Amino acid sequence: MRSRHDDNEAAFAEFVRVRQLALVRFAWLVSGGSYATAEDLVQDALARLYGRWDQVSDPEPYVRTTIVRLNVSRWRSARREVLTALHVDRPVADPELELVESDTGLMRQVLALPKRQRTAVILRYWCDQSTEQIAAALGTSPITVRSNLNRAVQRLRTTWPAADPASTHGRQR
Amino acid sequence: MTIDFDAALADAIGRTADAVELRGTDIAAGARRRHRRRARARAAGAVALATLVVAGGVMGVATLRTATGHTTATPPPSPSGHPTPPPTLPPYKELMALLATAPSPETIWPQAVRHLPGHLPDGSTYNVITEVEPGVYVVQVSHGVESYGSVYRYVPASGDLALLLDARALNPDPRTCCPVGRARTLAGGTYTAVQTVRSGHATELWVVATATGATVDHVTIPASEGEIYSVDRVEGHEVWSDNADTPHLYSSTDPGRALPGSAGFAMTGQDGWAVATSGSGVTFWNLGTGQRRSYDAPSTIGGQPLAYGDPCAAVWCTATATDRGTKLITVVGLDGVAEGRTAHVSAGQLSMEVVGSGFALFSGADQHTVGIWDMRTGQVAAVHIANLEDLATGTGPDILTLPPSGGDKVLLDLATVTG
Repeated sequence: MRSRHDDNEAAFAEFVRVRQLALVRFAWLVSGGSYATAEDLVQDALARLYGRWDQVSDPEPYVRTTIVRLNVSRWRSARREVLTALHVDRPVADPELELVESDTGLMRQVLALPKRQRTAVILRYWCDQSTEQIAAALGTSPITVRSNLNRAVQRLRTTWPAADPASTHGRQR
Repeated sequence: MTIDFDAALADAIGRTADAVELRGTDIAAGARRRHRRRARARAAGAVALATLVVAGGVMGVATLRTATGHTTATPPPSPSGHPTPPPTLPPYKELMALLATAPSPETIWPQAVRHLPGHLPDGSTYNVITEVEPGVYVVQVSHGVESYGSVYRYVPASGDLALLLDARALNPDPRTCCPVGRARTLAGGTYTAVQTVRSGHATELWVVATATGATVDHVTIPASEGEIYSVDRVEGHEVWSDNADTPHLYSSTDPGRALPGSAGFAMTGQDGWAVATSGSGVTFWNLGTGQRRSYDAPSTIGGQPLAYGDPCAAVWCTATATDRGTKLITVVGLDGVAEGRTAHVSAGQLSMEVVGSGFALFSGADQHTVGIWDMRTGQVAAVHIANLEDLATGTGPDILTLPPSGGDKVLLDLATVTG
């Protein structure tokens, strides 16, 4: 007979299997283009979810919000990992970074934005979140989010469209 | 025809995100491991990281040199009285070669190895928390890797086993019952404590006298959803925690108040030390004694912010950053050893954590062979483990549980090594 623990384990494993790529991509964007950091953020967020699986009704928003909060307070989250496990952190190339660095365009500017501005841009333009939703994720006020978005967009516009030749292949109207 | 900026931005983000692919890491397993570590670490709070090592074999004993090149058992004291220069990291291949030839702890530190019964008198499996007096241990029943149970005072020689803490009786809420981490001893073993969590997300600290099991304190600390914060009971009945972003003081009669001047500081989980960084360096503040130490230390490496804090032990504090897959570590001495000195290294596949006072565990890509390095003498022993949980630190400062042997639980008393 399967126990409740076994059921939770299976449900958690299935959630991770199905959603891990999307979560890593999201974390990669908000972290500014570091795969190692993205994976670290996702594992940290999932570790928190794992401990609360019974209590979280909708895991994906919970994990995404956790990723955002861990990333904006990275210093504090790293501090909490007291027991540094004997964890192998293999040096690897970052093909995504190479992709971005070979592109002088808009995305390079996005990844160079300050952390909160970058996160607000990703949540607005990639996740289609409202100002209020972004404020909730970042733990700040909608006014601050609007300010961050305005500053970010102003900065990005100064180098656009000339900065991103590829963007001319995007949607036009 | 105009190009819509919003659409172009969304398109650029989407195209870039689509290029990110998984790299084969078992993320679910990693998350489970982190959950277990977090649970253990919340109550442990006494492990740290360090960096250093230069490989070399001397007289049949694996030895790591100090930064000054000494390979002798006792590095010369510095003029300031600090005996150990800051560490440097050897090439990875040299370190692994040393690990491959290092002897067992029994070979080089026979006086420090102890054999205890593999099970308690009632048949339970257990973890050793610490030794509170010669031959007397505080132990905790284990129900697998993640589950922590009752805490006992155990005298192996006589078989005496006295219950100290039963979280099921203290916190009968079946949803949140039982310790969230390993028990720990306080005030040199006088008290023993465990943390539990209630469904309202409050962390509770239960403290008993180790000698009698009598309850001496019960402190409730409100916590945010999903978080359990480090707790430092430094002295008296006061508890410092930083669940409100800055260190707060709690007690059984005080619901919590911010400590004046603590803005920007965060608890390290180590003996009442809080830490803050600024553009000019890092400042440690012992909330129990009021002592402050400020060091000139980098705030970033390779453009990545450094994380100072929890990895603090009696000897070292460290900060880490990850820069394109390479782990960088910097060391800040917190007490008399290498105090105020820093070094940063590219650790690559090397993993390292500091235990006790001046010891480090390290491994390479093969995590089943782990080196135990006495940083004061440079000696290295190696242990071979079937799984990571076979090698465990206690919450006391100087007890390391080695892989079992012949049905016995095997301990390495690091204090005896240094003595």
